[in-house]
Amino acid sequence: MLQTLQNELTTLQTNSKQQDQRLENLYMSFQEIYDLKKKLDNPSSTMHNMLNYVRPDIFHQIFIFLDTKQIFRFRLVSKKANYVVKLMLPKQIFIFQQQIADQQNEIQLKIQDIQGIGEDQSQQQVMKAAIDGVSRLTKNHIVELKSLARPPELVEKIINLVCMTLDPTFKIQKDNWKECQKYLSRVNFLELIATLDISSINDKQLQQLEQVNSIQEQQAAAMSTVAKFILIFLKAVFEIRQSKLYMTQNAIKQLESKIMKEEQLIKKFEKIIK
Amino acid sequence: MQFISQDDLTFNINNKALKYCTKVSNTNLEVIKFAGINSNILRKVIQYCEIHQDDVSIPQISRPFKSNLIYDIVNFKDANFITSIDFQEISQIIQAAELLGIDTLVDLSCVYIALKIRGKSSEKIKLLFKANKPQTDEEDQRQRDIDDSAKGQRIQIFD
Repeated sequence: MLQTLQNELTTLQTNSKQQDQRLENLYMSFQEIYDLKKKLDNPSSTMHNMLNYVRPDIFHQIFIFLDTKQIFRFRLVSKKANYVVKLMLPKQIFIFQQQIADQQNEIQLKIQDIQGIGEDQSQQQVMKAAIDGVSRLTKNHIVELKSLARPPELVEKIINLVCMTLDPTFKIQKDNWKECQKYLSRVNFLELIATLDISSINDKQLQQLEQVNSIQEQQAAAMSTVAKFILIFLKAVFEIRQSKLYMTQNAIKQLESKIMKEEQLIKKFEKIIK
Repeated sequence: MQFISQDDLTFNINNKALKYCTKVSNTNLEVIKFAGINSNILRKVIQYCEIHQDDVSIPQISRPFKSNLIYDIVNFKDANFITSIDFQEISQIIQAAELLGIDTLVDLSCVYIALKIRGKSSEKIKLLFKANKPQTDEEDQRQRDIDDSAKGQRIQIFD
């Protein structure tokens, strides 16, 4: 009996030891998982960061291939990143100042270039004739055109082109007659055409406007009076806008816009350095 | 010419590949020791030169970039080469390439890092630059050596 009890006791002790071991293993696993989680949430200070050991001028070489927005985002990474960006700003300001000086010289040269060029008389006459043609159109003509549910393709194309000329944000697409109708609904639609500032037409608009050269006036006239006069007007606008005077004026505008952006960036950089 | 790395490994580089190392190609030296460049990095830099040894020239990287993929911006050989390098090593490649005067390799590495940074938030950029392994004291010292030699202080030259 005693022997049996002894054996049972030994078995219980062994089982107890095994359970203790299992419990210990479980605790160790939990500890590992906890340590891993801790490392992920709070990286150890012995972990090394490229920002701390790569020279700032290496990053400056990388920044050459990034835009300003991205460089400003890089600043927010850490104090060190901010320091690296700040170091390169004086050089960047110098580069912008040089660019501005070069652009201003270019503007002066272009202004001198166009001073000698007067407005082409024959082109002016063509333009005057085109505006006279548009002036003959009345509100009734426009209402009649607008009321068409599905105008001929050529007419839709011409109206698309005039809307694009008046508004650089207008997108020329197939089957967007509804968008064209919105423009035709405007009270001052004809006035907008007659008072169009040709120098405000940008290069992208000019590229699209080239399509007028593939349309014959007789084709347009056969379909719609409005389309005919608007086509004549657009052709005159295209011809004048392509002249050296307007091309140079447009180039000057673009350079002035670039200079303004660069000056704003310089101010921003100077603020950061301070 | 022979290049000896910081850890005393010798690499032979032929004249065709050497032409890209503009800062050392015009010297009459036969052996140059780079006290700040370890063998792993030097091997890869020489590999880049050897990849292009039969090319007349390496085209410059044009901007703006066509896309965010390195394979769309540089030729296939260069893209393959740079993508096979560990990100943490690329800064060392840039420093070694600067030292040797391999401008195209400097540009390639910088473009690769720029593409990695592009379009990412500050948090993701932070993660990108964190090393996966802790840096030992030896590696710290080696990095300081690379920085010093990049400033032109430690090239030892043997005739």
